[in-house]
Amino acid sequence: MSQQPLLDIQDLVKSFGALLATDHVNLQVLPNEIHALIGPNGAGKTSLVAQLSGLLSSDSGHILFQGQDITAMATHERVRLGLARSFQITRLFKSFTVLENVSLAIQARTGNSFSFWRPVKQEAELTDKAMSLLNELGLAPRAHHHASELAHGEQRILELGLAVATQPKLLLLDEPMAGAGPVESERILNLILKLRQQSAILLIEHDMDAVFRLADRISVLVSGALIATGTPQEIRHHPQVIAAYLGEENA
Amino acid sequence: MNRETPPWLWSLLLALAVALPLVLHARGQDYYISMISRMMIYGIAACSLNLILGFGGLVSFGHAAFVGIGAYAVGIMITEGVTSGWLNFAVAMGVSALAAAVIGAISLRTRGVYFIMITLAFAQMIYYLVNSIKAYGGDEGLNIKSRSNFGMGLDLKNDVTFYFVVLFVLVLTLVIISRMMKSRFGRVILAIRDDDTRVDAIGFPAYTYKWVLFIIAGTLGGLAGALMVNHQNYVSPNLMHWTQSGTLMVMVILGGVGTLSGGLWGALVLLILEDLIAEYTVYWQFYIGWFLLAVVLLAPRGLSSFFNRPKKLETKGHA
Amino acid sequence: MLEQALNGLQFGLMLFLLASGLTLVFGIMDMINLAHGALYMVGAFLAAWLVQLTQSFLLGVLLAVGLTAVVGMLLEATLLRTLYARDHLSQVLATFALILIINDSVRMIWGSDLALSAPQTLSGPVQLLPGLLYPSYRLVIIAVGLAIALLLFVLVTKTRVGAWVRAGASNREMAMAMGINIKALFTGVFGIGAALCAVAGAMLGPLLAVQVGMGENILILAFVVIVIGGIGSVWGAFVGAILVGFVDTMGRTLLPHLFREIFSPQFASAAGPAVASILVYLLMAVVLFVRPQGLFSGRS
Repeated sequence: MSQQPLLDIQDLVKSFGALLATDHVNLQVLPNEIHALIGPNGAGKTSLVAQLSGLLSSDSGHILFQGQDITAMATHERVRLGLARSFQITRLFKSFTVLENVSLAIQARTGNSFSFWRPVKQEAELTDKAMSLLNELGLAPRAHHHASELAHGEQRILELGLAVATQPKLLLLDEPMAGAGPVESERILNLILKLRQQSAILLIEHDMDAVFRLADRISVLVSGALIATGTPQEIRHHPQVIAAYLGEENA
Repeated sequence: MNRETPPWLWSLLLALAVALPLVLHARGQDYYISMISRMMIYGIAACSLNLILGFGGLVSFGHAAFVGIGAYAVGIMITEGVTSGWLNFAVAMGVSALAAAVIGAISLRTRGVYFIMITLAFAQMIYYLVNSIKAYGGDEGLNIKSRSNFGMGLDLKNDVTFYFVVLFVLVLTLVIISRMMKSRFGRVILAIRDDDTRVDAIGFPAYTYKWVLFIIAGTLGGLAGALMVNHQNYVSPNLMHWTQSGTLMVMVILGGVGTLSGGLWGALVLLILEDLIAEYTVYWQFYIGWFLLAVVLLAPRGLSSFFNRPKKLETKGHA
Repeated sequence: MLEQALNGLQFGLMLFLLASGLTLVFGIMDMINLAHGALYMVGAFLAAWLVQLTQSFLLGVLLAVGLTAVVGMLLEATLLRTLYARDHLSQVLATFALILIINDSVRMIWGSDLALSAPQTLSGPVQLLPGLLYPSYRLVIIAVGLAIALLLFVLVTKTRVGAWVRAGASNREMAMAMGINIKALFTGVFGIGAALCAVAGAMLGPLLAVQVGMGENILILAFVVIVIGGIGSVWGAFVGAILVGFVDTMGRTLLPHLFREIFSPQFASAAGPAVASILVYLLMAVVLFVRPQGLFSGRS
C-alpha cells in the first residue's frame, strides 16, 4: 500500500540572512502522481525548486531521490538520475532552432558529447527522436524556426519540452503556464496530463483551476513552511489554507 | 549555423595562398612572403581566441599569455640546444595546455566582469614572472640562434618553406575548429553561449565543457606562439602584455566574432592597415584607434549579435 | 622598514584615487573603462605643462585637475554614455580604442614624455622619528591622499549627492524612478573620477616620470584593487588600495631578503624579484577564490 516516495524532502532549511525561505519542509512525491505545490507570493516556492534542482544549496536537511541522497549533488547529475525541471522564466537556446533545442536535450542522455570530429547533423537517430517528441508537443510545424521566433505560448511549450526530452522520472514544473493565454494554457494542461504516464510531476502553479484539475495531491507552502498536504478536496476545506491562501485569492 | 563560406571559395583562396609565395619569390620580393607569414601566425592566434570569445562567449582578456608561453617554451628549448621541431612544438602546446588548464579551472568559476578581470590578472602575472627571469633575457627578451628543425629536408630559415609550414598549420587550425563546432561538443558550447544554466539543467556539466574549450584554445594559442618565435628569432615578455591580448580581441571583432575564419581576416585587416598607416605617419595608433571605435560603435548587430543582448539578461558576477 | 611601510601607504593612497573613480563608474554605470588610466596620464601631462607655464606647482596641479575633469565629463557626455547599454566586450574594445587615440594625441601635443619635478620647498627630508628621515614630498602625498579619502567618505555617506550615488550603485531603475537626474549624476561621477585620476597623476609625476604609457601599468593595479575590494564599494577600494600598496611595495623589498635567508643565493636572486612582482596577483586570486564578489561588494 505505501509506496517508496520518488522524491523525499526531509526537514529542509534555507535562510537568507534573517529571512527563512525554507522552514523545515517535509514533502514527498510518489511515483506516478501529480503533486501540486501552491502558496502565496513570497512563500518560498522558488527557493525550494532551486534547492531541488541544485541551483541553490540548502543550510540543512536532506533531499532523497529514489532513496539516494542528492542534497549536495550538482544540477547536471540530478538530471542524469532523472530529476529535470522547467523554468518559470523561459530559458531556451535562442540561437538554435526548435528542433536543435530538443535534439540537444536528447543528445545529453545518449552517448558521449566529448566528441569533436563527427558532425551532429549526421546523427539521424537524434533528429528522429527529436522530431517525434516535437510531434507529441504539437510543435512539429515550427521545427526549423529559431526558438526566438516562437510566440510566447509556444516558447512555454518548448520550455516544457526541453525538460521532457531528458526522459525524467520526476518533472519539476515551475509555473509552466506563466504568461500563456487561455488556449496555450489548455494545451499545456493537456500535455501535463499526457506526461503523467511517463513521469511523476511536482507542479508549482498559481492557476487554481489548473491545479484542482491536475493534482492528485496538493501541498501548501506559506512563509517557507508547509502548512498542509492532502487531496484537492481536503485542501479546499482546510481551515488554515483557506485563511492563509485561498482566502487571499478570492479577496 | 549562419551563412557558411562555400567550399569552392575556400579552394580558390587556398590556391591563391599557395601560388602567392611562389609568385613573390620569382619576383624577388621575399620580404612580403615573410610579412604574410607573420599575418597568418597572428591569424592562428586570433582564431584560437575566437574559439572561447566568439563561440564560447567568454571574454578572456589574457589570451596573449598562451601565445607567449608557447613562444618561450620553444625559445628556451632552442637556447638550451633542443632544436627538434617535433619536440619544440609538442612541448609548446603541452605547456600552454597545462597553463590553460590551471588558469581556466580557477577563472571559469567566475562570471561576467570578474572573469574578464581574473584572466587579465593571470596574464599579467605570467608577464611579470617571465620579465624577472634574467636567465632567459628578462625584459630585454630572448634571441634564438636557430629555428626549429623538423627534419624531412625542411629548412625553416627559408622564407618560402616557412610560409608553407605556417599555411599548413593555419589550414589545420581552421579545419579543426570547423569540425569541432559542428560536432556534439560544438553544439554544447554554442548552447552554453546562449544559456549555460539551461545547459546544466538538461544534463551537461557546463563548467567542464567550458574548461575543455579553454584548454583547446590555449593549446592553439601556444602553437601560434611556437610559430611566432621561429618567425622572429626572438621573443620578449611584451608578447604577453595585456595590450597584446587587446590586439587579439580587436582582430576578432574586426573579422567577425563567432565566425570560423573571423580571426584570420581580422588579423590580416588590422596588420595591413597598421603597416599602411605607419608608412605615412608615426601616429598610426591614433588612426587605428578611431577605426576601431567606429567599428565598435557602428558595427551592425550581425557582427556581434551574440553579445548585444539587453543588459538585464546577462548574468553578472554572481554564480 | 618603516620607510617602506610609508612608501606603501603613499602608493596605496594614490592607487585609491584611481580605484575609487573606477569602482564608482563600474558599480553605477556597469561600465568597464580601460581609458581610466589614460585620464591619469592626461592629468600628469597637463600638470607638467601647466606647472612649467605658471611656474607654480600648486597652481599648475589645480588647473590640471580642473581641466582633466572637464575632459572627462566631455568624454562621458559624448562617447562613453553610448556604451552604458552595450555589452562588456564592446566597452572593453571601445575604451581600448580610446587609449590608442589618447596616447598618440598626447604624443602629438607634448611628445613621449615631459618633465615634472616636485616643488623646491618640498625637496628636502623631514625627520619623523630619531634616525628616520622621510622625503617631505612623499609626506605631502600621504596627507593629500588621506584628506581626499576623508572628503570622499563624507561626500558619499553624508551628503544627498552621495546618497544618490549609492542609490544608483545598487539599483539604477529605482533611482531613476525616484526622480534622480541620472544623466547629470553619471557625468558628475565621471568628472570626479577624472579629477581624482589627475591628482594621482600630477602627484606621482615627479616620482614615477611623466610618460606615455604610464596609464596602462597602473590601470591593471587599479582593477586588481577594485576586484579585491568589491566592485561599487568606495570603502572596498580604500581597503583594497592600501592592501595592494603595502603588499606590492613591501613585497618587493622584503621578499628577496626573506628568500635569501631561506634559499640558496642563486635561487633567491632569481625567484625573489619574480615572486615579488606577482604577489599582488596572487593576493587577488586568493581573495577571488574565497570571496568571489570581493571583500566589500557594493552590490546587493
